[in-house]
Amino acid sequence: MAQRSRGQNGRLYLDHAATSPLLPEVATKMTEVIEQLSRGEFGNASSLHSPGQFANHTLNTARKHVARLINAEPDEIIFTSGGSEANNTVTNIFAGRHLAVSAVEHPSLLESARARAGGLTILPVNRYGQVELAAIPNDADLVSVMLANNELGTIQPIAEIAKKLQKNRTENPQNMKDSVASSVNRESAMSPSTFLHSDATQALGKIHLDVKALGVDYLTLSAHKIGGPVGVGALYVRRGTPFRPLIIGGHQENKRRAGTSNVLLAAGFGEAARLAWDDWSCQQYKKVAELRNELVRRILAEVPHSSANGFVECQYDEDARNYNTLPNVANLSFQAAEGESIQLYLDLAGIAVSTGSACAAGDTRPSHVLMATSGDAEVAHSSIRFSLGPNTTRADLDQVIRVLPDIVRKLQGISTVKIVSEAESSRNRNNQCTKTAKQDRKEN
Amino acid sequence: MPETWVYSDIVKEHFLSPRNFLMGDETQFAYDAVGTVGNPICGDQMRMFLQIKDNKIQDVKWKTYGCASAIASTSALSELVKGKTLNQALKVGPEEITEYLGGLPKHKFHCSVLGHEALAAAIANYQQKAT
Repeated sequence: MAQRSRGQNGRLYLDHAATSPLLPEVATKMTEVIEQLSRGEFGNASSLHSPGQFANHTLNTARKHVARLINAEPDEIIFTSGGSEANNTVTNIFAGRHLAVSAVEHPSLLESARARAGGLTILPVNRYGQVELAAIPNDADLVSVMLANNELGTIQPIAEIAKKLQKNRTENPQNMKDSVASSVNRESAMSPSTFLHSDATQALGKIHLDVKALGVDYLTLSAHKIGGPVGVGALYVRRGTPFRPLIIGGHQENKRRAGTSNVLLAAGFGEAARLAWDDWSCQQYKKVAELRNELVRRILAEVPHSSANGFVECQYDEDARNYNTLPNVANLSFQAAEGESIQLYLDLAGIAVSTGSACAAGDTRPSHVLMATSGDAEVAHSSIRFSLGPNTTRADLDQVIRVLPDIVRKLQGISTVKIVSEAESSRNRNNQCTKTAKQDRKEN
Repeated sequence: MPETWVYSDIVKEHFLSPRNFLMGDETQFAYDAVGTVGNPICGDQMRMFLQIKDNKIQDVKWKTYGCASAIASTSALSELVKGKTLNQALKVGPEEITEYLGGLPKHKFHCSVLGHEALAAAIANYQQKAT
């Protein structure tokens, strides 16, 4: 695969979890489709005439590639405009119901759950960001826990959650209709069941993913995290599970998502999924995991007062065929140095990374993920996420280590925040950034 | 790739090469007054140190925990108030700091407000000591 970690301008891109470079093969595929479109070879994929059926064939080939990557059937894949729409679609199915979602979900899940749930249980996480099985209620209609966290990389015990839910579940009858009625009817059903959704946006293409082994009913996917185009994603909906379209007024996607099929973007997603499938033989992400671990080790050793958020080391369990955390994501905090400043100094040194803190408008909210795991707003404000790509090299790590220690030292030197040892670290600190806290003029 | 940095060139300049910052130990600068505003748990905190003679700011140093525009705001402010009388310095408001920096994004305007407040706190600290 010819994906580059370094642009032609020599910049180093370590923000693959935000979006990944379009793979050359995907660009070729999409160019091919654009040419077919401009020659008028494609009709509307819903049309019965030949150009329409040609478009429909391209769409369904893409669907097969996406389905195969997660061991699903093609008719279980609904193309969406991306992960956020897929997440919104799921919470919309369970509008007015009891939802149990983890505290570290993506905002498109967390906020849409807040807006739509009848009752909402926020599942707490441990310091690595994992949901505790015991916290999952028995009476929820939907449990939604992401497969891998976007900020920390932490992988959740989805298969274990599914097993726990399975105990209370009565299998849905085969004839269950995919309609609003089925979800409504469940209310009067004799034995209630809990459905399981997982947002696999970050996990796709990085770890082995099999919906049947995971035991999920719904799975969210996105193309642009695996070298596909932005603007397309998919929702896996297991056969026989309740469904209600978010966008209505058309029979596309088997009446599950209205709107003229976006053949171009779907073809790009399909090609990226095909490449991800082919790459499993190469096991390229095992190499990425080694580099990720080396990066964390070297930062902890060479950057003063640094600490890892989530799992320090990415480990692969051969028996379970799974990682504890994504092989390409590392999240670290640097005491007394603010995240955005570190990020922008790195940017000026030609290195693109991401920060967990978004400092904005006096209402400065630290990352909800790091608040859930560390409970420490300073740790959250001082965090940086490095996310590697399949072509990241050791030389790339050298480049980071060449500049990062001095950047952090400089920011720590001019910082108002006193460096404290791990032991002194203020566990009882008031972490609410309230009006009073903002106006607090006392030395901290 | 075209130059597309998130803040203005002047913010970039002050962020890359901040003026008048106080590196490390605070006691190495013999200041007459100090003022701190903000809170690290909110994402930014600023501290201004002033040397004052004959009601004039002889020298100024600062420390900041915060984003690029927070660092640039304190750096710009330190340049703006050096040599000014206390009354003149107090009149340097958030708008003047922002203008000096060639503008700040709307959601970063509070950085210039914090800068102004840190200076005001330092001056209040001086006046308190004097009375």
